Amino acid sequence: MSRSFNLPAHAATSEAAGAFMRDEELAGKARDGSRESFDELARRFQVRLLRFLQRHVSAAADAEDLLQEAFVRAYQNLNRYDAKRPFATWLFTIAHRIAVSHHRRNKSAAHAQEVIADRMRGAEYAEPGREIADAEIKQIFWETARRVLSPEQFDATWLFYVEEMPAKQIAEVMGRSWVSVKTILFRARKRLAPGLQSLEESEEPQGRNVTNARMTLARV
Amino acid sequence: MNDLSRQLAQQARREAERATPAFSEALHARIMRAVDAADAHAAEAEGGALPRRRPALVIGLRHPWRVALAAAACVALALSPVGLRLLGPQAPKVVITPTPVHPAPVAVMQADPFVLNRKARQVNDQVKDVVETAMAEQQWAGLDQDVRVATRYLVDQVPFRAAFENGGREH
Repeated sequence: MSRSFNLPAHAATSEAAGAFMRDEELAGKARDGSRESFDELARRFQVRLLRFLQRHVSAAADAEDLLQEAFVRAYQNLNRYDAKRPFATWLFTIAHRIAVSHHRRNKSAAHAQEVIADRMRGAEYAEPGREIADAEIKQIFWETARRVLSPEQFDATWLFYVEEMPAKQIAEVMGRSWVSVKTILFRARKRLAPGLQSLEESEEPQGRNVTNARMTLARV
Repeated sequence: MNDLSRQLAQQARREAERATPAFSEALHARIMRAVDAADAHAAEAEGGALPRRRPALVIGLRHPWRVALAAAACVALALSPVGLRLLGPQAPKVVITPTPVHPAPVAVMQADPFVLNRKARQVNDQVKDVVETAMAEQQWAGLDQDVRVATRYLVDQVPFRAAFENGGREH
């Protein structure tokens, strides 16, 4: 099952050059030796993968290092990829394993959580180099998730809501059973739900949508 | 999806998209350089002559459990009675034995008595013939009878069991 996603800016080049190929087709060509095909895949998945990996590390540089490692490993193991399976699932499996290994190597979890929370408030990743006021972009949901969920619950929640992967694909990424993933997601929702009492959406005079979440976070 | 889940999903997606980093051409170039370096390193390790990409069927690593199963079967066969029989005792053993100096006496002592008897008679005859022939050729006048006796005596000294048992009597 392929997730539809908004084409990044560079995709215009692909479309102009010729057929816009599915990820699985490109991966098949890359497996047969086409560097250009892998180049295109790296372009398509850079943002999604980086966004996923950023949630596991405290520094932007670390996330980029993990991203590079993920792509190199994917390239080296293309011979193991089965084109009948979704390429996104396969790639996220590699990224997830790298993230888990990184987390084990750097076990200062408490410190990492604080730093991540700070970064999410500052929304540094939204537009690098630009300071953004705390009030404009809130990461209430993910801040809460980081605080109350286990790493496994967090990853499953991210893959389910953001990457829109079905439970079966999440199970493949995380190396768990489909039933186990369902349970993980259920428990994650239970832990998150009590904190969300109401959501109001309002627009600022400039036309930017800002979510003013009124939440009473129940400390779990 | 119920209302709560829908609410959570929307909030989650909204926040994630707001915090999404922009695509970076510089980061992409760095990644592809790393990929090329890893590829070159792999090609160097393989000696450069082999193509980096091989068909999945040739490598056969898509199902490593099959390789493991085949290896386990080979080990089990090698250790099984059939395998041990094929690989084991039939193999020629290298045994260093001293070269017998006089193999004949050992064989004679272990031989069947009747066969031994026959052999002794044969040797007796052969020696007698040789000596008599030599005598005839030498033309030992008057001495042939003595020579015959002497020859018989000499032959009788050979430690054949049969000759011994016969008490030196002629065959």
